[in-house]
Amino acid sequence: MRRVGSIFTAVILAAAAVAVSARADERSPNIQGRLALVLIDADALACSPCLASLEALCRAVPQLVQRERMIGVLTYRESGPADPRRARIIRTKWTGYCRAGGIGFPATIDDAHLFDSLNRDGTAVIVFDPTGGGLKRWTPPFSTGMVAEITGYLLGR
Amino acid sequence: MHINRIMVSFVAFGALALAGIPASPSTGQVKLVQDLSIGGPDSNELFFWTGVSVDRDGNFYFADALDCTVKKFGPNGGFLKKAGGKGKGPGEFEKAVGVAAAGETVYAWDVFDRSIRVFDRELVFQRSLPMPGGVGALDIFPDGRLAAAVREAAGTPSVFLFSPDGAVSRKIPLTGQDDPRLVDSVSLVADTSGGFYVGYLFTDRVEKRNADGELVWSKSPFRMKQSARENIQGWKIPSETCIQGLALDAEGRIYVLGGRRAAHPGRDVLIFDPAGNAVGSFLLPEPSHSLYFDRKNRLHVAADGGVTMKRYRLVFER
Repeated sequence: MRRVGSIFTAVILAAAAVAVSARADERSPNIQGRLALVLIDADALACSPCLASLEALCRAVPQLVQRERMIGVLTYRESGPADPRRARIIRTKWTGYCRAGGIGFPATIDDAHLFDSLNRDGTAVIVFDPTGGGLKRWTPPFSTGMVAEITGYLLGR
Repeated sequence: MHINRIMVSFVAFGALALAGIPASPSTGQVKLVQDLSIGGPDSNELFFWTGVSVDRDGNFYFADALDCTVKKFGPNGGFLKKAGGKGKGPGEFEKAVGVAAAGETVYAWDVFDRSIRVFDRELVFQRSLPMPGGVGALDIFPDGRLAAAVREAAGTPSVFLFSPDGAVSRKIPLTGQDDPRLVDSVSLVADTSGGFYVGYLFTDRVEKRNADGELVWSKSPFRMKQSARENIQGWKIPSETCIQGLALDAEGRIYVLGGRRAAHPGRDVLIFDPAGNAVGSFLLPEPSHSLYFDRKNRLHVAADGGVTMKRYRLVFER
């Protein structure tokens, strides 16, 4: 729990940093700090049906908004000791996946396995709103309504 | 070009015992000598290659399922060009899963599409060959004819034999698959006599068929029990793989790569002669999802989860 708490703290601080840097958002103060954390099962990168919802979401969210308000975390399972080579392989696969899928948000690899407990269901999108909107989580498959909801949340609608 | 001497020695009788296959007096040690590697964890050249083929000049062609392209590398492993991309347009792929080069032509297929893309050796898209259903596997006979495992919308899963212009000459129903939805989960290799071999991804079964499509022999090479089925998106289908790949060497020996249900998932390779007799086995250094022999009898396998291709010479020792 302590670890999860520190993760949320880190994400909130990151969201605050986004709010400070996004001067264009002064016109829409209600979207300041909103951030979507996208947990992705790296072992599913080659599974088209598994990530079809994520790709649909990325088609709906403008590239600029993806870059500024979405952060990906690639999680994966290891049965033995941590293998740095595995993380490098996942980074390569993510590069290839992004090139084909038009993914616009940056992602980091969870080689410390901090997010394992959050990603038991595979891919998930968690939106943070430090201005008091609370947290919300979506897991695929994303319906059209869910994509609209997530997009609207990120765009401050 | 990496030249590493990797000794993968295996006591033949012990290996066969582990694989559950009777020992054969003709078995011996099999040594793998790596002589080339393409891609790698930091190269960004291959992201998840799912098929490889080598043309008469030694150029490599890969199908890459993650960036949805076909790629060409030179004989020394240097990247030359790529084609395709994700989409439904001409020459594009939803998921490129296989490639086969013959003569001046490079064929590539998509697991979600009912056609085969035809490129020239410069990867310039030429045309699409419509197929009766989704293509799961394809190989080319020495005379240029093609064999493809096709899942039709209705009817039995089959291997279709057809000419390079797409004209179907024969339809051969597959019998080793009890669920028609899994027909595209096969490996297929054509032999020099006009026959072919089929390996089933979710069933421990390899078949040899003659040029008329008649069954010559059938084996359960890994002697696996029936795979448990899982409920996946409403379908009860097997979840663990049995036969991951097939390859034919220049001597006509068939190599069978075990899947996740093998004793060493993705690494166990069993060797049979054309009559179906076990003649050897070996372990790959790391798991692979694919096997392929080029015309110089060099074995191509995946490594690093599909971001690397490694090529080996096989040395049979007695």
